[in-house]
Amino acid sequence: MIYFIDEDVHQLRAYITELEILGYDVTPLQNADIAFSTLIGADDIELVIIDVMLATAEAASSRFDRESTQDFLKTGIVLARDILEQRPELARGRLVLFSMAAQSWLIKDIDHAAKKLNIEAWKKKDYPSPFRFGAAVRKHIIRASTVHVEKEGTEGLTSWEPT
Amino acid sequence: MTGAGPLAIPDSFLKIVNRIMDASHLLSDQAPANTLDVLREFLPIRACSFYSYNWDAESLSLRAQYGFDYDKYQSFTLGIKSTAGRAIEAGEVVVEYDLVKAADFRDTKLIKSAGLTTGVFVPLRVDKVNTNAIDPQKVQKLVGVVCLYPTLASDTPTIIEHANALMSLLGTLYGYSVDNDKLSVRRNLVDRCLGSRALSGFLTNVTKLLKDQWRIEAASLFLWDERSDVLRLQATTGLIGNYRKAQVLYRLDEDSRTIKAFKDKIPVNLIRPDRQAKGKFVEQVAGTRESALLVPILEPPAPGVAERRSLGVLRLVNRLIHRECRTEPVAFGWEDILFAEFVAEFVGIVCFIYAKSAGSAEDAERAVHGVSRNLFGLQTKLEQLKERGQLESRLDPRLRYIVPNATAQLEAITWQIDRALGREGRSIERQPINLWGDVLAKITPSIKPIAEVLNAPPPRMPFYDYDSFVNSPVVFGDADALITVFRNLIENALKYAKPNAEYTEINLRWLQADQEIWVFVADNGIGVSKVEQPYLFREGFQGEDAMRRCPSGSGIGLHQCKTIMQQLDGDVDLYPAGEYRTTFVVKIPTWGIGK
Repeated sequence: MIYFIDEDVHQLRAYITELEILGYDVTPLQNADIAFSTLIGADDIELVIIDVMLATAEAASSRFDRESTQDFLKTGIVLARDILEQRPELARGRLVLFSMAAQSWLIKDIDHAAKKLNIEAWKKKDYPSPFRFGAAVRKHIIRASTVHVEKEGTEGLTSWEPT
Repeated sequence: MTGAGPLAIPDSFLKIVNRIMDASHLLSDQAPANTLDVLREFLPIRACSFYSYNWDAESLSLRAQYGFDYDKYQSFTLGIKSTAGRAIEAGEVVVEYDLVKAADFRDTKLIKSAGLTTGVFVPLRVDKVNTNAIDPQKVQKLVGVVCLYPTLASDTPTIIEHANALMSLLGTLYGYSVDNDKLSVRRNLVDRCLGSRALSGFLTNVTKLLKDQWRIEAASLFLWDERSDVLRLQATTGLIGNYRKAQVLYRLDEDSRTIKAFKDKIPVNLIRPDRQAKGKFVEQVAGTRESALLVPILEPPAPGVAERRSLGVLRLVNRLIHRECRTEPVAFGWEDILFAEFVAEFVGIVCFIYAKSAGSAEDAERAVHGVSRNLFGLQTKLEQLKERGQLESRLDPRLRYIVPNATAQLEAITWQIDRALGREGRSIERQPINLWGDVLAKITPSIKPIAEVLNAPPPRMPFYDYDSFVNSPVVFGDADALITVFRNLIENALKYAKPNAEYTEINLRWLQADQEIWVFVADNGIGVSKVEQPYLFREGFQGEDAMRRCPSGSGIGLHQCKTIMQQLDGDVDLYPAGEYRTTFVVKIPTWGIGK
């Protein structure tokens, strides 16, 4: 299952269709809180694609606050961190940040966070073509599965090396 | 200059007044010493001191001194019950005829060696308030004390006579010096503000300025972080200990003088703050902490708003004075409070403006992000139609170009916001590129649709000699950045084409010039008037004709071209010749690293 976490999944309909054509099951999750509660217990994760500037639930019921998410500009980063704290095994290629950020400082922060969390950060503008996006996702999932198997079988790789 | 004998007393009182007036035109850290110089020249005195009165703390802070020799005496603050303090309490000249018996008189060595017996203590009175510095609401009538020690006991009557006459003059003129401080620091602050690209840079410059040029030993600036509801350090000349800036903060419920100044919105002047028990965050100073002054930074007054919000706190430690070739820390006085409040007022205005523009910029960024997402959604769907071969042929071909064109415009807006907020823009990476393949070939297909979108006459194609550009040398640049430059220039040619023309004439040529390629982008549009030519590359500038043609233009394009080309070690300029009305020359280096 590919989980696509973005509050406006309709804008990404072309990507989702493409992934479905490739044979994947895709579940869109519309905010960070739903995503957190879903992913903590999910055992069918092939890939989690997290938008960085991401919506949350109402303040009273959300685990995310303005301060740590920098006015919700970086909710996706905090979500990725929280998920990995609970499920560190997902760091091996099962999580990617996917951002539309255009501000240079935000792009830098996203890259820095991704490096720290040992995950990849993809830029939406690098994938105007859904076809290329689908190909990239497939390649990524195959690679993540290979590394995972090697890790379990031989303990050869100690960490996921972002491409 | 040493103390003069009785014969040096001037005939005319006006002469001494004139000299003291000259001294008062100096800044308040120089005026006291110069005033004492004048008094020593004209009056028979062996030693003298100038103290500023701090009415909140009921103490006197030293500003200048001659003839004393304190032994291992560190503090230069007197209480109101001291000999000098009595002059403040009395509000008139006080004479002490037996200094040995006088309470709190410190330099017994001087009394013994020079045989001094008498001291004349002159309160500095402000009778007429007409300076900017002295706000009658804030300043009391007595602002300090000048202590004069006659060389001989027989000189005392002469000194008392002058002292009574000088009492008001010295006080009011010292007020003018404080006024000069404000004028001078305002100039400094404006320079620092204009020279800073971001708020953090400005605040750092302010603390440096206070330390380097205003005899303040250490300074820190704290601003309220609304999101976390804490006072957070923004700039400092240095704290004791090893802190990261992000760690230095005060919660609003903490019992701290800094928080008190922030909440109460009034200055806190601490004389000899706890020397043993250090505060949470303490500024580094060379010697002892004689005084700390905490001044609230308030948002600028607004019409109809009764209460001003606190934005932060300016914290100063130790005023420094020069004494006997040494620099000594002394306590802050009333003049320092006025000065610090003035600085804090200026900082408050700058912070307020930055916060406002940052807020607007953030709103704009979010709006840009929203539009970008929609465009991106559209773009991916169009791409999918093409890739999956569905219906694409039925779509208006312009649609395929409106999206990347609008995306490029949004990128330009983001770039502009980054620059306005002093952020580092996209880094430009230079590498060998092919001018035709990497740049022009990518722009060309979008020109016709852009012309249609802009309602411009179609460009006469081809507008450059393909064979010539294919054979152009490799240049060193950033392909994306150069695409932006040429796209802006060509788009301008289309935007400002001659109305009703059958075609937009655009022509691109190149020539090799030393270690650069010069690419000429010429058009036969409305042209640029001679008056406007010098301003063409200024940020936000739009010529009048251009505005009439395209009122929605932002004046960003050419400025962006200039900035990019300068980062590439090249340039772009208006080229003043040729058969075309407007010709720009883009100079691109053919060498990789710097010229």
